[in-house]
Amino acid sequence: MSGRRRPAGARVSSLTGLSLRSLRARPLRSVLTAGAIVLGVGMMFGVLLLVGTIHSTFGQLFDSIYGKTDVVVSGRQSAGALPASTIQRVRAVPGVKAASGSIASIFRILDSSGKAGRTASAQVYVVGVDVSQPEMSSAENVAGHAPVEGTDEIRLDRDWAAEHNLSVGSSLRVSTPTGVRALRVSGLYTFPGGLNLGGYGTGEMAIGDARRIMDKPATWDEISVQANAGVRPETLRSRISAALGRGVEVATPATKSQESQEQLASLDVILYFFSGIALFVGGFLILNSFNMTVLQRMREIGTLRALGAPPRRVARTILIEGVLLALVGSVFGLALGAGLASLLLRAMKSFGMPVAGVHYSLGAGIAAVAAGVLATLLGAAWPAFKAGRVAPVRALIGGGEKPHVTSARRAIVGLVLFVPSMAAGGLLWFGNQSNDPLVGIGATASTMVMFVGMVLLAPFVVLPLVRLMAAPLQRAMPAEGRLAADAARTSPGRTAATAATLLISLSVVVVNATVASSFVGSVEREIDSAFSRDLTVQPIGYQEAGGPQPGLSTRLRDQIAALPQTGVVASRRSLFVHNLPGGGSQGVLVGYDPYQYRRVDKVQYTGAPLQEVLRGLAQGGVVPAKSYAQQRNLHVGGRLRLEGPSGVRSAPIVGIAETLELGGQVVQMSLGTIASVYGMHTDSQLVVKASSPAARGALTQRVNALLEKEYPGLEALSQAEFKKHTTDLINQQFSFFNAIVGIAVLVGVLGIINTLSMSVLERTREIGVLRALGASRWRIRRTMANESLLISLAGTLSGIIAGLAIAVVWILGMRATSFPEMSMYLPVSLLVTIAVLGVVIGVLAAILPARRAAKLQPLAALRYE
Amino acid sequence: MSSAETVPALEAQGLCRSFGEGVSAVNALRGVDLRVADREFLAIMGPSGSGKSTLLHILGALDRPSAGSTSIHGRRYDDLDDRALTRLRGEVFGFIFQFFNLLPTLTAAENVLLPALVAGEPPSRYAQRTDELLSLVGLSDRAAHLPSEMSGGEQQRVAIARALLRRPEVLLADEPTGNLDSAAGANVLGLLRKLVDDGQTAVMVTHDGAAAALADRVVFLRDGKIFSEIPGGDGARISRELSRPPAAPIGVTAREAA
Repeated sequence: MSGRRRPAGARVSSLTGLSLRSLRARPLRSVLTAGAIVLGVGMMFGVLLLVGTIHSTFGQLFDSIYGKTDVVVSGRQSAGALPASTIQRVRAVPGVKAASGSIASIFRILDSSGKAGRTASAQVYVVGVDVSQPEMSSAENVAGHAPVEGTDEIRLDRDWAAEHNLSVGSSLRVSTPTGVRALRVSGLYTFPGGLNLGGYGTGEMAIGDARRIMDKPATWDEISVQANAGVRPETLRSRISAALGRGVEVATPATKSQESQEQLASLDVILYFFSGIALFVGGFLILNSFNMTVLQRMREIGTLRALGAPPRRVARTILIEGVLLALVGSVFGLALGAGLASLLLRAMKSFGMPVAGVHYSLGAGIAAVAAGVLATLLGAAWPAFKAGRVAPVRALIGGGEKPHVTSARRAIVGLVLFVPSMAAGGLLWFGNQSNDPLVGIGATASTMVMFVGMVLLAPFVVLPLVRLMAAPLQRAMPAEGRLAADAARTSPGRTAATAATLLISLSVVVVNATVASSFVGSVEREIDSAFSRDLTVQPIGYQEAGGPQPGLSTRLRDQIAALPQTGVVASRRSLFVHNLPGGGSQGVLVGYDPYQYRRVDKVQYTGAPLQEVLRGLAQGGVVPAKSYAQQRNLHVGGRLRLEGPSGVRSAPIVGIAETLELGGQVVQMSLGTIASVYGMHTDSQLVVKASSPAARGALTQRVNALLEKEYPGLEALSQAEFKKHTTDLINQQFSFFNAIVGIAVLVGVLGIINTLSMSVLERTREIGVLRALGASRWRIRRTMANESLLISLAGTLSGIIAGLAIAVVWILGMRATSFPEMSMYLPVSLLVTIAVLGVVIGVLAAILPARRAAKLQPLAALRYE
Repeated sequence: MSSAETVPALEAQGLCRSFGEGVSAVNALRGVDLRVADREFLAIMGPSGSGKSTLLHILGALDRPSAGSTSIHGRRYDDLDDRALTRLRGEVFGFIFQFFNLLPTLTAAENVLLPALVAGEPPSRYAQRTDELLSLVGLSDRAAHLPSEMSGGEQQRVAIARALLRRPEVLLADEPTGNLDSAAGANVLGLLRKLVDDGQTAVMVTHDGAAAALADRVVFLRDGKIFSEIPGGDGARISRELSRPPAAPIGVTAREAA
């Protein structure tokens, strides 16, 4: 026995050392494999940070505005407004110490030329509060004083004011619902816990001024309540709730905050899903890479087995290699993810979502690394298992039989996994509009199973494609084309697996794009056929399904109606709700005057004759959109219970609207109904029709001039602009998801480089012979490039085929279930782009391996064993 | 010849091994009986396809017989499960390969230490043994070198040291000189002979008559059966045995076996 830890000349003291050495011995493969982990963990971390930031922003918001509030009274999930009298009813509840009502709107700051800024930081959320009531938020005055009633004063968030060079006494010129106003800054405040809304400012005005400027004369958006000493908020909450009845939400700030976090959960799941694709593809690249390593190291592994290594220990060395790569890759992945997070946040902000700067959290880092290690372990598990099963005799005979990849069993297992999970995935993603995160998790799980099925089925699509494309290649370049095709065919398993990484990521892109373009195409068709309006007047960046919006004043409607070129002005009032009446899905309540609106847009109704529908609407009936009606099994003659903060009633269903607006998640009613039930007294949009087609030009000019002068925060969109605005919102969302999936395509590129460099290694002898026979380095490069092209084109084309197949099935399914008006529109330009991308990827991926192959000296190549 | 009373180091009885099934089946071994005494150096010779490598694989627990039994110092091991066979390979046998099979990423000393590492034993317990073995094979000064920095002969000597690390009961060598020039080959054979003289039991497969001449005993395999057996040391007789024509047509042998 010796006291020394190791003998002379030995530095490893366990098989972990061997794992490390073997990683170092294959630097390119190790780097590429780790690269897949870098990308996967990076995207995961980026999205986790994004989600964390969104949640922390909302958490901060609730902590700040309800800092000294015990109970909040509002419409359900803050939708709609309460009648002014509600505050007396609240104050009458025993245990209420103080109740302070508020109304809110969004103003846009004007630049020196009087134009409204379009950025987030040009906007300020303004609340009107009764300044005689106690402060309900945690705001602390740091300069000046609270706004005084009747003076058009505003108190601002200090940081936002500083950003715009405003101080106490400054004049702030803003666009408001009732026109351009100059407000005097009376004071500045801060929230002790900090509140960063990603540029949006906050401000506070006295209630009387606010009512006048916001055109909200007789409602409360929210009432904050403080409890008497000794009264528990929860007790007070149930008392007020009992006093106010249905349709009104009475909640503690904690449940309110939790509710908002829960509403984000379904978005979270979708984001996790798209970011997880890169890791899934990364795990698959690892599987492929380790499979190659095991095959290449057959003799070495056989030797370990012959020296008495148990299978478990051999498998462990492979898994340790994976974990080492995963840990190194994760470190770089975290750095990449931090960068991606700020890009994602910027995109999120451009959708109008208020989000602060990146909120770093240790938990997100740990979760991303854990996901990376898990994906690696799953990817390395099968190769490790196979390595453990290598017969010791392989130490002597080396090599190993290449697995048969197009067996009937594989096809059957692949189909059994693919077909049901594809159906389930389509149903869960698009077959309903539930915002239950569990549905999202189910959809994610079935899509992952679908991916596994696709991986199994990949050889059956990829290999015929390789054969098909090899023929023209050989005709064009007889020698190189032939060699490349042979190489791609001699290792069919590897070729198919490599192409499969591209197949999966691109098929997701294709499905996304096809669904998006079908939505866009169907919406455009509806606008073309049913919308005969000439102008749509709405706030800049208006989104029906977005957060709070500044309303339009009645004065503006009157001003437009008074123009000689105006034929009709119709109001539209939209209220985004998290639970549409009669169901659990989110959507929009739309109010309009049926007769007036009919003269502008010719939306089709079914279920009853037109005049009956219009009369029914005017008399308090409701019209669900066809999609929503179909999902919830609603029919004309049935009833929907409307429960709003201003009233509760059971409304008859008087017709079904053929509209795809907001994915058909719409319930329409009259202006009177939406006002009396939901307290919506201001318009969201004005739709205008010229008195004659000839007057259209002059009308547009007059309206634009009016808006520019008096309402710079609004814009008037022509039919074409409105169409673009609507479809841009759809495209934006899908593009955001596609950008996240894009990183998975990069992983696929790494996979091709990986496979090609293996191919160079395997064909070293062959390349040597070619070089010895006088083949130029250039010719060798071209051979490698051709092989790369074959794999990448087979991957991209099969991705397009698979994506289209899935999209067709899903869209047909959507037509049959949730979106009856939807038609299929192919994203032709994107498909062409992807095909071109396939060629580019193929050429780019070949650069490194081709250089390696071309550098081989003929003699060295021949000596290789 | 060893006496019937003493337990042989290695014993095989009625070994058969066939590969594949049906018409395409190949019978590599057709009933081989073999005894190797303690401290004996046995050489197995035969033309390619005679089954000598298959025999060595089965003796070394790398493969299992289709029929027949094997035992080491009286303990049967043909019927053991995988886990037990794996242990046997690590603790009881030491294997030397024609192509050395050193791990290219490990130094000489690390390669010698490898059987301890794969068994999960602490390397400290084998530190001194590794030094001694490297000195025994004359490579103390090469301990920190990688296989790629060593000659074939040196690599094979590292492989021998590796095979000896855990003091195997039997050393098995598959064409240990097959990939070496004659000087290096002679050196390796001299080393093996010395090990046996110091008490090691060894079985070697070779097609090199000069190599076999160093063994204590040579058995000749032909068509999966032991064809003849002579004492070692007589190079001329070995060459004669090797060039003898088959005793009977292959078909007859096959029928006899069946």
